[in-house]
Amino acid sequence: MGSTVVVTCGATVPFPELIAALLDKQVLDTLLRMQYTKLIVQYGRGFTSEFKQLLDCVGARLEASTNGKTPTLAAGVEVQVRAHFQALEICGFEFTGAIHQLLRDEADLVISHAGTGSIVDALRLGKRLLVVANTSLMDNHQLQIALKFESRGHLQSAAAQPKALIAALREVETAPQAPLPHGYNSSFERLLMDVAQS
Amino acid sequence: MGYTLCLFALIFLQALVVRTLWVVPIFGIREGAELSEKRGFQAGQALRLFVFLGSGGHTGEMLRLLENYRTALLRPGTQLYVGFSDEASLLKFQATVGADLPDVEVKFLRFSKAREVGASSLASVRSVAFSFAQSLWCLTWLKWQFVGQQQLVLLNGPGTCCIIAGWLKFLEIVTLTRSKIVYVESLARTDTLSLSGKLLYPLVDEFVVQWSELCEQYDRARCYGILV
Repeated sequence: MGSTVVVTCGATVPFPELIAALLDKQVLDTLLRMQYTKLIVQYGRGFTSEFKQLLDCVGARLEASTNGKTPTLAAGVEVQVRAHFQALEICGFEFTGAIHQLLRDEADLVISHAGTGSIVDALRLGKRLLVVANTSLMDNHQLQIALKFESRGHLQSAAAQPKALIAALREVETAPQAPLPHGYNSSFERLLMDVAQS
Repeated sequence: MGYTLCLFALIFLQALVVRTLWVVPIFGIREGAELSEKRGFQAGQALRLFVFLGSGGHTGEMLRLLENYRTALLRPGTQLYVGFSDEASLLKFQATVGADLPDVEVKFLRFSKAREVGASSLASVRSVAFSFAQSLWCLTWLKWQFVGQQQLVLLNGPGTCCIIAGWLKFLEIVTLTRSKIVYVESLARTDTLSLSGKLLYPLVDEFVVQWSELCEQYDRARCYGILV
């Protein structure tokens, strides 16, 4: 059985640059060559028509929903857009509250924006992770976050361009990835209790 | 008469200054004194915990903190006070940590938002002023609940936290009762503190950062790695 890539853009705003870079013919070809057969994309609220357009541009075969019935993924996530690019099945949806379960049950590789929540989620689940910083946002430091995690060997980061994505995809397959320790720290717990009891 | 009044005012002012120096941790006066205090484990007394959920990433991190330190912070008998300023955060709390809290009493406190991310400075000043006024009553009530109890206030980065910490510390100074605040800087801050962090650094009881690089720059900051 082939592997699955789950792409997540975060809950707050869409990340068109990432989706556009991802739905590039060469990137999709690379994924196919790397034996991926399924691409699940959480593309962000209000981005459905653009997502369909991008799929159309790359020559993916869009599937009409059968009798209004929407296929579902793990954790009951409903697919809004379904398409095929050669042997690669592409499933897209705007947003889900069950992203954690989706990552856990479906993903072999995660491609994500560089929000701390998404990064920590994917790493704690032990998933291979490639992040793309959303540099168009003000005040959220995604680039620094991505570079910091990358410098500690937890993930690969890439710019939102097809070529950068392809290079990073090759890297993430081969380079070892440092696991992220659990957030529990007994010294911090003691600090909390000491302050409460002071 | 006027002279006596002046004298009283002066004495009062002096007392206030001394009290402020005593309370604000950056002056480092109380720390030494506290070591000699008895610090037994108050097993019998339930913890009263206040956390503030800002929005988006801040909320996410606070909920992860609560989840990771559940055994210490959310023991049965704990009274949890959840401050929030947007519905999404409240829903996220109820869907995650709040969904499984046996024997924990949860109370919600609504705060208006101090500052929209990216708002202009004039709009920021106005909304901060409004938020400040609205929050005072809430916090004074909270302080009343916490007096004499085993208590902890856990904050991370959102703007409202400045008002919360500032007012609780002010009340600590004037009412001669403790307000115990731990601040955990956002994981998103890798090399510089957030504005909230900079403002609260001298004020809160313990200041925790999640990247060692930040710890090196700030003497008071403690680092235990990634906690969320």
